[in-house]
Amino acid sequence: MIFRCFESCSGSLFCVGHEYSHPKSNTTSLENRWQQLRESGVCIFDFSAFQPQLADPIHFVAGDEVVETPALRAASGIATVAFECGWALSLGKPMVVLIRSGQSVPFDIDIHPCILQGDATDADAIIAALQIAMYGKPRISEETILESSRNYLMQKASRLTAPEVQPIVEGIQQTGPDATMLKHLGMRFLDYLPAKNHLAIQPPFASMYPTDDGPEKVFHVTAFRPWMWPQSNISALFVNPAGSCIWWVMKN
Amino acid sequence: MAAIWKDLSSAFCDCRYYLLNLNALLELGMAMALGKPTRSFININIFNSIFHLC
Repeated sequence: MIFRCFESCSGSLFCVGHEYSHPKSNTTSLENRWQQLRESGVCIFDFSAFQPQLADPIHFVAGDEVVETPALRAASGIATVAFECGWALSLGKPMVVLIRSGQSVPFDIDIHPCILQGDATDADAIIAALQIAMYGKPRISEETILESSRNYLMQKASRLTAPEVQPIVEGIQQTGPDATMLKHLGMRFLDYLPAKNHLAIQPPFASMYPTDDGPEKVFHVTAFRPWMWPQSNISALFVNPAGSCIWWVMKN
Repeated sequence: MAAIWKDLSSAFCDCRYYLLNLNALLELGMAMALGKPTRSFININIFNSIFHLC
């Protein structure tokens, strides 16, 4: 199943034996997109409509509607593509990024984009990009989080008392450097965690697990643009879901 | 991107948008897919076009 595409490559999809994912009838639009992404084996993100000069101006003064209105209009269509690309990246989905000749990718996600020329060669280019995404080598990373994953699972296991957990824990301890075995044991283990609906993901980059030690951190997201700097010293009030802690985030 | 990925071990995600910067939207999507509690502060003029991200 292929997540998101655009009409001109429908012939290519037939060639590689895939079909589009379809929306479900009884869900919200956001959940619909999430479920379609989850069930897809490969994702295509089309950034060919991105116009950075218009949609993401470097020089801008907040409140300047002459710039703001066309910028938002130009970016609104492509915004969801970037947002859902973030989903796919987190889930570790194989993906293809499409851009037009002369464009550059709006962010670095360590993927060579498929550059469309606007002619008959595009279909072949998309087929090649799909094959690389599905059967090519994964991103090369020198980091491994195998031991971190093992320790994280053991830490979670130490809080569980169900007798069914014990054989899984022993398996995790004895697995050695076998990432596939650890993944399968970890997925079995998820069924015994108190909260339900856990999701095991294989992100493309070596990550870090949240720790229970020290203060909790806030991940701050904003545009790295000069026009955001005047607002950079504003403190943001952030209350954690438990209501026990209030954060003042100094922006710099 | 690899460095940003490590920052996503944070407990919460705080987002600020005035215009629709694609890099920031990508990071918001990553954080939401990881189930991070997210709070977004956005330009009200954005709301109608991408309200479901908020």
